[in-house]
Amino acid sequence: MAKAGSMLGSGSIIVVDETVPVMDVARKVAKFYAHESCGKCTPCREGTNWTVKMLDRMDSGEGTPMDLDILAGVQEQIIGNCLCVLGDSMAMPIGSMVAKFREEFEAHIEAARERQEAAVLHPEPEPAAMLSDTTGPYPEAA
Amino acid sequence: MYPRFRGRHRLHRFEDTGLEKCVGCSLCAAACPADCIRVVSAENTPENRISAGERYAAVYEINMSRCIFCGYCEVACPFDAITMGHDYELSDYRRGDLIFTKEMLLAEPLERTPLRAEGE
Amino acid sequence: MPRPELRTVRFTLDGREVEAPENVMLVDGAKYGDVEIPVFCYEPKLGQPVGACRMCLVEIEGMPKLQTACSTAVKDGMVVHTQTERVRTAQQAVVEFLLVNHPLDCPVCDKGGECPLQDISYGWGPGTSRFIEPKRHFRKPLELSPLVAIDRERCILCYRCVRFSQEVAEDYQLVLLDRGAQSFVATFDGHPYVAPFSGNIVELCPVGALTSRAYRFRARPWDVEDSGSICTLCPAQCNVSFTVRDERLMRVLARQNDEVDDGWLCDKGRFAYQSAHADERIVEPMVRDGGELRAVSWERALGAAASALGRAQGRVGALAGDGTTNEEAFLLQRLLREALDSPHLDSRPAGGPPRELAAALGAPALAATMLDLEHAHAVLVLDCEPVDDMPILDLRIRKGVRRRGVRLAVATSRPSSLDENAELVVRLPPGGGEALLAALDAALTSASDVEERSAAAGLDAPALRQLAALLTEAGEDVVVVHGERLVSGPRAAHAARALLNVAERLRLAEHEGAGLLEAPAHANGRGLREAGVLPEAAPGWTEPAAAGRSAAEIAAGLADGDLTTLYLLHVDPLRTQPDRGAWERALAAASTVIAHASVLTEGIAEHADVVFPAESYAEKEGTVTHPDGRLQRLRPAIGRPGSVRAEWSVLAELAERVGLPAGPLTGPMVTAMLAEAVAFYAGITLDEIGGKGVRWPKREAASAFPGVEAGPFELERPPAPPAANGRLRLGTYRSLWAAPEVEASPALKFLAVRQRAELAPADAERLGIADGAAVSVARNGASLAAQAAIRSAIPAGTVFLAEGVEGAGANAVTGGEPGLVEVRPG
Ligand code: SF4
Ligand code: SF4
Ligand code: SF4
Ligand code: SF4
Ligand code: SF4
Ligand code: FES
Repeated sequence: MAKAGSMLGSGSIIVVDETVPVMDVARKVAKFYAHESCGKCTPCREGTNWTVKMLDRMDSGEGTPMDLDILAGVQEQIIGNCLCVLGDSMAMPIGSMVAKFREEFEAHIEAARERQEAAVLHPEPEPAAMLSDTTGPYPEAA
Repeated sequence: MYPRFRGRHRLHRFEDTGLEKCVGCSLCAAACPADCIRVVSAENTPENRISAGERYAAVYEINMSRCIFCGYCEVACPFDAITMGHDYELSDYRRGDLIFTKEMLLAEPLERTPLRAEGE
Repeated sequence: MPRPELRTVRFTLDGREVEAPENVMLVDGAKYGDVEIPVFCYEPKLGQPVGACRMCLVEIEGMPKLQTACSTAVKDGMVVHTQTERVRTAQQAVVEFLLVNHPLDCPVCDKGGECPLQDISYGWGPGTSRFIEPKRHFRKPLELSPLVAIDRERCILCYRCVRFSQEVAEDYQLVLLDRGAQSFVATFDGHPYVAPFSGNIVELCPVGALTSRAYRFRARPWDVEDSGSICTLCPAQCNVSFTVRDERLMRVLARQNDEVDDGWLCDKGRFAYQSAHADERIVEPMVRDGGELRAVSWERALGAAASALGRAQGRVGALAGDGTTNEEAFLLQRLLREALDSPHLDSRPAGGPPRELAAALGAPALAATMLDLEHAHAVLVLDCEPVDDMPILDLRIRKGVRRRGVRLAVATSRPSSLDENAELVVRLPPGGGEALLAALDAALTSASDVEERSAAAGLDAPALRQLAALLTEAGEDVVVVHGERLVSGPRAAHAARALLNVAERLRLAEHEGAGLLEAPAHANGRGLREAGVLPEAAPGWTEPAAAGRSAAEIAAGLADGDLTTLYLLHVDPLRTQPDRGAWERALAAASTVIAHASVLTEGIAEHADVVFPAESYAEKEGTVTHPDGRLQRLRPAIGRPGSVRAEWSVLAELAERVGLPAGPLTGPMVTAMLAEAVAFYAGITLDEIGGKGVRWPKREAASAFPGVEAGPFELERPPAPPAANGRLRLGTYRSLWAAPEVEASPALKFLAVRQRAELAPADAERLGIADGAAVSVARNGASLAAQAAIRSAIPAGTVFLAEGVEGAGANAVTGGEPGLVEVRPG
């Protein structure tokens, strides 16, 4: 795993098939760590919380591909600077996801944006908030 | 008059709420090279809200006899509360009357509210 | 305990060789190479670093990750980089992270202009932020206590305030609730954070999250001036820095002096500065005219005082106390002894041992320092409550116990706040100090009658043996902290002998780090004695030409007409002296009472004939002497209000008016006179004292201390306590908050003390008294109303009352010494 430059979680193996959008995996991971962060050291406390806010925003259609650079930058700022490894445990997988699935993220952001625009133009049938609950296959990204 | 002429200062209020823009942060006083601004701030209370922030200027005075009209105060202000106006008629018979109070600076130009009453 | 020796190590810092003491943290070590490493959470005063904020990251060769300089000690040969790209990126990252949830409040924030977060963002931050999400929000500002406001949005979660509460003051009230980015500082159940040292968190907080409600928005750093002086509101004499704007005190900050206060202040010292600007303060001289005190000119007041004093030749008594400086004390005794032929003056409210014994207790070899407390093997707290008598002492003792493993024994009659930190607690009956010392002396010499002696004194013999064992086994550095009450009252001489015996047995005089430390009753108690405000000791503990009367004898003398005039220097006898009844009679009988006072407390308002306005401690010039022998310098921070004059000059002028040759013309001249008169202060100058003070026992002149006999003495058996017969034994204590300065400070008014009778549950039940009920405490026909407070830690058979409460002090029923009282409901 480490050789592959990844670390999905705390070294355990999580199996995800290709129908699951990487955005959802990233959000799940980030939320988990933001929730678990004890809040003692700055990079982990603020970094996890910032990451979650960014991912949520991208997912709701408010993001741009440029946010991915910030996202990656934030992960780099967390890695190695924390008091314990909890912050690193989020930053490494998220960082590698952005690096390895960048196109998929971009497509997701684009699709979310279109949906959100559509929702603004023709309110109904699907409120934007629903998007964040996606768990099943996601047509554009698949 | 040239629009960027730096005359006597004015303090401003928000047009919609009427609250004073100045929060009494004293940054203008810190920036002033002539040391002619005095700010004493106090806390806003729900019953007595003067400015939009937590604090307001309870005392705001500029000693015009020392001001060099450099405009640093205007640049320092984070809320555009103070600007240099166009009023240049600034002579008086007593030095004390050249200390402009908050009320004088908030008032429309030319409407002078001097420290002493007429004929005193 | 042997103090760690300072070895130096050499390490490389940014390519340069730097020498620093071994074991200091890199942050401090780097200062030796003139490199500043930014920090937020690091504060050595709080104990072990926590490494929470990550601001201090540096690169150390041989370590893969960046290290926190606040928690890495310097080592020989270490190679450290603080300016590399990697370090800079990390620093910028941390600043960016800290600002993620930090509001843009600077213009309205009280910390603006003196804010470490502003400074560090400016110096080490990235300059911009990429954060565009919504920030976290809290309701703000909230009252954390009546003294401190909290703005949780601004908090950067550095843990300083929480660590202070948990590990320094040990009041265990502040905690961080919730976790992650939602964490916030609060008390566990939301109650206000009220504690004797709570104000320190305002100074500790590196941002504007915790602000003083008394100082909020009063000034910006560029509007004010700082002025260093000494707090003389209690004997701890903390070094302070006054913040002054337009001739008004705005706040008080600590001026760290490790040998005095360790950088902390109590809330009285931090907020009672307001009393200097209180409306009720006296700012003009007053003379009683037609039964009422009226403001008059100085000429008239001085004339009235001088003529009264002149008429009373030989029949004047004087009391001095509270914040009286050494100079004022010296001039007062000069006025009485030399001009008025009345050596009747006292600075000990309840009297004390005779000159020889008192001097022996104050001998330089026996003096322990504040630092000794922290490094001692064992500390014995004897018959005093540090947090009330000398608050900073409490923090110092806690520090020694927590961080250096000092073994603490507490022997007091009232349950102490240090009980929980103590290895051994001995409860003595009120007034049982002498008996305890006598029994301890017996235990230390392995005498056979320990059991008998302890039983007679109502003490637990095994506990006493344990105490003796603890004090001898812990190590040679033993510090005994005691209150003035231990060696006062009618049996003061016996108690002093017993204390000297114990000191002798424990060899306190021989060891550098061992000794006695007394918490005197008045803030400058030690200085007043050394300057000669004692009935039987002239300046420098020398024998006076004639011995005078003690405080109690002055009261008696006034009552039966032997004395006619009373001079009060910062004392209201109805408040500070024991036996209120005697003083009421004395004040009523006195033909003239002259007082220096800053507020009209009861006794002054009713009885003074001439009142000179007293300077506040922020206006004074002069010196005071710390209980450990440190002379410290007071410097005026603000001008005197109204027509207040320097009090030394008032004393000097009065002396001149009653016939002494022209006296000193300036404050430093009085200091010089004092240094000349007190042999062991010889040659001391204000310059030598400087900002941090100088301990006279450490100076060469200390050898001029008069030779005294220090025992061991043959001890007389203390009398057995009288039988209770259903009555309760009365103990008294002095509350930190029972002070005129507290009552005159708006911020502290909520803490002003009301009289409470502290009772044991068993006694309360027997007497049918409920918690909070009104009770009356009676003795010899006098009685005092109080509110019952039932505390399970109070030993059965005793009741405790507070001294110095305005209008309701315990002295109404003390009758000079603790005794038996009746407590009744109603
Ligand atoms: S214009 Fe310049 S001199 Fe005048 S008040 Fe402003 S800063 Fe001061
Ligand atoms: S005018 Fe502006 S800079 Fe001056 S105190 Fe008011 S808000 Fe601050
Ligand atoms: S704490 Fe410092 S940085 Fe934060 S708002 Fe206050 S002054 Fe500004
Ligand atoms: S309130 Fe202040 S001292 Fe306490 S944790 Fe927050 S920033 Fe630190
Ligand atoms: S401990 Fe005593 S000297 Fe120190 S601040 Fe408090 S009152 Fe003042
Ligand atoms: S100062 Fe080192 S981690 Fe906070």
